[in-house]
Amino acid sequence: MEGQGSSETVEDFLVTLGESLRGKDDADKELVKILKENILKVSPARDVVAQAMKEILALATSRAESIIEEGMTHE
Amino acid sequence: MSESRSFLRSLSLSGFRAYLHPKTFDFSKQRSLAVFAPNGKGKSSIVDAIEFLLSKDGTLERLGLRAVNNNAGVVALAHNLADEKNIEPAVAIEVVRGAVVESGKRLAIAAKRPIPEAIVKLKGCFVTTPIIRGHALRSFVETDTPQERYSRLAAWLQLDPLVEVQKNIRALRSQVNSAVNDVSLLHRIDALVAKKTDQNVGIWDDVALLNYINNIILSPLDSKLMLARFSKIDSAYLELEARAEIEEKEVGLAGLRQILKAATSLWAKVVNDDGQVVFRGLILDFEAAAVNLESTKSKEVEERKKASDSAFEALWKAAEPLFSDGAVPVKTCPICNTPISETVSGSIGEIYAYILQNMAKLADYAKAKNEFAKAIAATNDARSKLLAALPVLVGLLDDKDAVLKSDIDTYKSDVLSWSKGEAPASGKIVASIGKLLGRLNRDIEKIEDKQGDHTYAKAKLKIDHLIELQTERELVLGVKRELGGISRALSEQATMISTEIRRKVESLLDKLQSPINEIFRLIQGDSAVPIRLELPPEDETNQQRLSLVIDFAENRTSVQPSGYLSDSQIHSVALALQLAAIKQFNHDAPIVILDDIVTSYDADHRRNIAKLLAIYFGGYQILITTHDERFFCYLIDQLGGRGWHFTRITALDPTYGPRFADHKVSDEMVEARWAEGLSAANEMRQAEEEWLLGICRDFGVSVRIRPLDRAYSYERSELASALACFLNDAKLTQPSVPGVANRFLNTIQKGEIENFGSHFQDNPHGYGSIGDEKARWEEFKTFRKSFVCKKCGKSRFKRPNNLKIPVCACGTCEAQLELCVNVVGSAGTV
Repeated sequence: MEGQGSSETVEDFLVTLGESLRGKDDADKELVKILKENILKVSPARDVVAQAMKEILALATSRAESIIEEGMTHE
Repeated sequence: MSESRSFLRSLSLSGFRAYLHPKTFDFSKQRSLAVFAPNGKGKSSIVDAIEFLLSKDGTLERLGLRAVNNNAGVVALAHNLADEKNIEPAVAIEVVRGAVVESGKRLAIAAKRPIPEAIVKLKGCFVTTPIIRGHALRSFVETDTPQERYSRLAAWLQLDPLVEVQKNIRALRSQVNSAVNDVSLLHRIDALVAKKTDQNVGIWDDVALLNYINNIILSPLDSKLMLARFSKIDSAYLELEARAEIEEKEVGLAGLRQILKAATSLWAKVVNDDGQVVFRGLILDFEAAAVNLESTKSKEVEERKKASDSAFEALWKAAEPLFSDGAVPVKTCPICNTPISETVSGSIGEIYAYILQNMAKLADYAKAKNEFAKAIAATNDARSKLLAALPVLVGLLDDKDAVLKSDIDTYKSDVLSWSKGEAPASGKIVASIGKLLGRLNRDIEKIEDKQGDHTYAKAKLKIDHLIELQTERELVLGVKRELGGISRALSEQATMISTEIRRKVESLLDKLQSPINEIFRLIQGDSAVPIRLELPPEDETNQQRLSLVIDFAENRTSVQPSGYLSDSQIHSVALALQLAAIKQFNHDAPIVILDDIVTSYDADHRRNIAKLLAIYFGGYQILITTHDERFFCYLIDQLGGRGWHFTRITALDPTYGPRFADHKVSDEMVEARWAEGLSAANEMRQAEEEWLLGICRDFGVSVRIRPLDRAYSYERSELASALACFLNDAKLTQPSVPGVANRFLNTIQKGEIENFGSHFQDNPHGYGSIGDEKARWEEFKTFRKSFVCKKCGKSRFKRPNNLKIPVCACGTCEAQLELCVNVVGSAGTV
């Protein structure tokens, strides 16, 4: 499957897009990883949004716990 | 330079859609095909076959995978008589690239309908779908919303995964935003705070809570003991903790609670969150594990017995691919070389079903075995824990509980010696533990009552609950804060993704603008207003939702095209868009497949489309089906003799499939039916009609202009009358044939045998027999044989305009037609 009549397939396009997002200096790398592994796919899983949301919640929880833990250490 | 582009070399349908008996379209000599047929005669099945071959899941868009809503499901792929006639529903194709020919066949039945390698390769050549359906063209411009139009454009260009990406990002953003704004967890914590503070503090408030702790909880114990903050390292909290510990030891509560903990680990009666009384503990865990062990063991034995016939697991696994869907059919058993038809199962399908049945039995056995192994591990684990916990309680009990200690020791011995079956009886020990727990709770209660509400232990417990709630609240707030940050980052990344997708689609549209307008002008004429295809900017509420706007005029930007375009213009826009995409991108397989694209065009536009195909798609392989006879004629005018094959479907035979005008019924076909003991009435009828049509065409007979509602077909009686009139005018008298009343033309003219499919008798409602059919067939052949050149014996004639009598068309003798007298039984063949 090719898009635009060039040699770049849709899959190539999505992979390049994911890499380009990750390459941005100010990008949230962990979020990009979630998007790359779930959303930026040619054939995503049926529950892809739920899965990505679960991973985002886990990421937010882990970050929040780290901050709380850090605060307690400083005390 | 060798040909690097792919073309279809042949397409074969059998048991598929309208085609019951196999039909092959050979494109090796004439690459392009145009099929004319009225609606419902099977022409779209040809396009269906190609859509089916190219589809990912082996189905058609309008059928879907399952019969649900308006979808008929894949079951509708197969002809309804395919199973009964033992015809395997399938579509086969040959693809040629230079000198290389590759073939593939896709079954239209079975759960798996794998796509053959040759089709995968062909599909890889298409950037945009080569199939254009007339019914889809109208809705694209007329009824689709800009978003739907964008989705459809993306699908045509096989960019649908990008639409899916945008849709999923929208959904994900929406869910993240909802989570950021969700306050239900905070409300729950507030409710718990109110409960824990006896409604003194209604919602979370650090100051109010500290005041509550210091003034209500701690002050009655020690007015100087005051928490400065919610923390277990606050100095006042540490002091409270130490005092509570001393207090517990002083009054003996610590020891009692230790025994209570050891006893409840073995057995306890508690009230769960739903208010129900439940029993739990290591004794019950072990008993449940033992019960489960017995159950899984029985199941394993049962499944092992069932699977004993399926012991050859490796054999089934090795055999399965040989008989599965899509495998090259084997003719003999790979092990013993017995022909498949002579095996017990009798067919590949039956053998495959047998293999699957055995593999299913093995799978059930493997599952039961696995469950049994898990049950053994769980029982061992529960038993070990129980054996470790029993001595702990014994060690804590004093001499007044000697009986209980003895009971526990006995029970422990029983558990130690247990190996299978029901778990050792626990009724006695459970009753004793129950009594012990009752006594312990009463003793603890008594001490606590003596202490009153204001004890350091109770104060600590209350403060611990509030600190736990505070920790939970901090986490909830922290997660919300982090989600807020992630939401902003997601928004930025979604914008970047959308921008890149937009850029990709826009570059496509840029490439298409010029060819679209060129094609649109060719159809609509030079005065056609240029079309603009645009992706308007997204606003905040509509992010990652690209839309395609088709516009003709600066002042019509907000009006749907259907509001100011004619039907023909609407069709032309969508047709131009798809044709332009094929022209622009499908270089590796220049194939166009058009299914009934002409519905709203006037004569000029029809002619223009035929001309467009001739000029713009000269080197392309084009397959067209149409119900529009005028368009079909224009195609013949514009494209005839340039590698095209033009054919018509004359009828749809429900027990055969579409009958094509170039499909001739031979004498052998008729006789083959009788040899099988079957009626050949339909075949005879068709053979007679074909002959009549051919001879009338050769002679150039006069036929009435057909009525509008039957524009595409001639009545048999009409042809018979025309031929009879022609012969009379030409003074060509049919000689009488001895023994035959020469009824052929007369009976058709009179309509006496119009109910031809069932009988040949004078009575229109009687039933015929094969004998009747044979008699009739001899009459026809005798009549047909009289139209033979007396000089050269050929049976084709022609009649130039200046001649009244047809002459032989062999090209050498040019003898005038003279009707011959024939002898019954020596009639010629078709």
